[in-house]
Amino acid sequence: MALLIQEPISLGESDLENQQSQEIVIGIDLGTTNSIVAIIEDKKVRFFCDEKGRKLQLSVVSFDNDGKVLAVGNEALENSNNLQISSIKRLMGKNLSDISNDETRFDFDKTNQESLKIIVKNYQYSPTEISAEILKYLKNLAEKILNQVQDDGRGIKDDGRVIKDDGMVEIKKAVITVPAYFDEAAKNATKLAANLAGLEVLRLVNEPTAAALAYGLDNSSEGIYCIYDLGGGTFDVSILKMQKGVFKVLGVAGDNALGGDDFDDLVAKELNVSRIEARKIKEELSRKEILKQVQDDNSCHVERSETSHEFKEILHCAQNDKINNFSRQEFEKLITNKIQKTITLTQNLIDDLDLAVEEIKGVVLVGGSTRIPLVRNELAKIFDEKKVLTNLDPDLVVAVGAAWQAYNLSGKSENLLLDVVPLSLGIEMMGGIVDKVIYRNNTVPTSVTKEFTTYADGQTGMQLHVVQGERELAEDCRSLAKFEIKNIPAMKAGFARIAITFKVDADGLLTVLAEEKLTGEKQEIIVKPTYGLNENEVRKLLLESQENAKLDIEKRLLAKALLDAKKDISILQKDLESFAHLISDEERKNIDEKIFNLENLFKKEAGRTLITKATEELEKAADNFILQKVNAIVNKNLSGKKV
Amino acid sequence: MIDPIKNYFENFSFNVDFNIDLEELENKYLKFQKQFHPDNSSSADVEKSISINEAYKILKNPLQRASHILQLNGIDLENDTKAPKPDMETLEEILELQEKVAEINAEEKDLLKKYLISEIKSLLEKTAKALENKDFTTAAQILIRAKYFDKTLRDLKAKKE
Repeated sequence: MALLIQEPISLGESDLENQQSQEIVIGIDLGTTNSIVAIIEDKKVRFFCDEKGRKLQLSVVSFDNDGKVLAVGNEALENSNNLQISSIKRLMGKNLSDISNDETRFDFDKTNQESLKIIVKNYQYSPTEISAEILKYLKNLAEKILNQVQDDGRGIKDDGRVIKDDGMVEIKKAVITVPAYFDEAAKNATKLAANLAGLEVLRLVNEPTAAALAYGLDNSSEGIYCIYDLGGGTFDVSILKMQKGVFKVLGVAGDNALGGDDFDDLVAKELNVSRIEARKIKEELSRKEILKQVQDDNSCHVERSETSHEFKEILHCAQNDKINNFSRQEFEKLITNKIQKTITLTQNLIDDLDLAVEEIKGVVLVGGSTRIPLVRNELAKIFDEKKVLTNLDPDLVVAVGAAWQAYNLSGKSENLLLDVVPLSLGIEMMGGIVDKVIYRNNTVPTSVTKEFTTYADGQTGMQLHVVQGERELAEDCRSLAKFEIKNIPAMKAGFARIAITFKVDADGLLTVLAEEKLTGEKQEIIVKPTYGLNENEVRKLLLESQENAKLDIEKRLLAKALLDAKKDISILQKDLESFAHLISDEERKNIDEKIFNLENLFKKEAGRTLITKATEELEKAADNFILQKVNAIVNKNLSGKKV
Repeated sequence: MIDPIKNYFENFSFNVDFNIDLEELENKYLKFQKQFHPDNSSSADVEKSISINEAYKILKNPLQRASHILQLNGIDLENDTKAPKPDMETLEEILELQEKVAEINAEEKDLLKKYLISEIKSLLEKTAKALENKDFTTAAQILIRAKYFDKTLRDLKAKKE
């Protein structure tokens, strides 16, 4: 562009190298209630906040009266008249048959047995699609902020990140956290959602593992730690050993359907209020206790002062004695069974791993629900009170870990995460009994081969049913895939030897390989559980996302055109002041007019073509002035140099 | 068509010996995983990462380590139907223990757990001695007993109220 005269940006060799090897990988905590996107910059975490400076983006999507997606994140709640979908994470990878009857929040398409669809007015959405909307929002948020930094005038980020030819940062890769207890279907659904949002998932990291990573790296801790993660929708507990930069998961346990949402439901039912009101009441009760603790010991600070204000508003509106008198004791009584369940799961895990409570150096708290004093008190009963670590924000710690793992996977770090298979994987045998091939809490990547044989004379085929879970009977486990091995040479029952290999990769995703040992006949099956979407739907969705990508490109081009135009204007206006003597009144008037035109177009939110054209006109009008300016600068330099 | 038996000791350059240095095992394991784990883009080797995970798991657990030594010496307790069987005395004892586990109360549970753990420990010591003397048949007999006790311990732990 003729107009721009800027200092050439010097790129050292190392910068160039970085540009080639570095690509931004974002860390995403895709939560039931809130989601967070972050990266590591200069070895520190950087959160991408929304326009109001909030790190936590609500995992909520709102829809217009027709059923089209209207807004995502905190914005989605701003107009509370709109239809909203929240806590979609609980439905990831589920089928209609998995949905319990008390899941009354959504209107499901009951005619579609094959895949789970939520009816929103004239449209239908799978949980994967809703999740993709949230991921897309997070991706765009990060891109927008990274591009703003560049707009501030430096042109290229000083850490040498890859920037597209048009100068816009584009994010294509992410590390996304999932509950340790997510099954294969839910994990695959999450990956698919990311693909729909235009993100390649470098790694799915278990949430508690991410939290451990964040804690361990922040405190350079070594030893065995317990991560207690009670979020909005899920409970996970993990035990990790941290040593020499290696974070090794020893074991995980949890409950996929136990979380803060359940507490809200209980409170809502008890007090006959809405779920949102119930949540505020719950938070207020926990906050009071934390305030008291702060008064007792001044070591930590309280952030959530706004809650108190909102709470009073609710109380004011409600004017309900039952709510006013609802005490912490009553709240705790309501949720005590649920909390006790998490405590039992934690104790059992420690026991299963042949560990003693004394060997555990600390308990890291993750998830907003760990703010509830009852949780902390119960944990203090099993562990020493000092071992219950509260120095990390339980809402942010998973995102910090995700950002660190994103950093690790872009080849910038020495740290290594060794994760495990959360649920046993097996094959259904005759009579419906499960033969486990890979046991839970085995370190990944892992591969196990087992031999099976035929049960009838002359049998040439074999049905394989792959299941996931700890129960003895296949019908109590989660069905992952069914396939048939053909072309087994006919022989007497029990003579054929079929080697079945289960291979689990570092993401915890399963591949099954079957080989007939006599003939060497091989069949490989990548286990693709039903995501609540069939193949055709997946194809259609991917096509749609490609079309959306075209739309996104247009959006990017427009943003680029706007950026260029604004840059031109700002440089020109500065020059018009500094070099006012070089310009005739007529020329000046012409330039001002063109700037005025452009700014009008900004206001009208005009399209890209109009803006580009007006920018070109401005550049043409300013051509002579620019030439004069360059000459003036060059002459000044020459006169100073005395050639 | 029989697959050769892998020697897991070789993965960590150990001699086939029940008494391995567990700290060395841990250090070598971490070192190799840092090198071969798929997350390490420059020197990743998934197959190696998998076999190191497998070898580590076997060697770390004393029961599985002993079982593996027997396997390398021709006694396959896991897969071979011709491998030694437990004696009647052991079987009767296990049956009794299993019955106890089935109807145990919380108090007894802890006691039984302690008993089983100390039994397994002493049986493993005897196995180790037999292995040292290359008396594999005796080692197998004792190890089978230890394995039954271990199974009972797992069942007891799995019994959650």
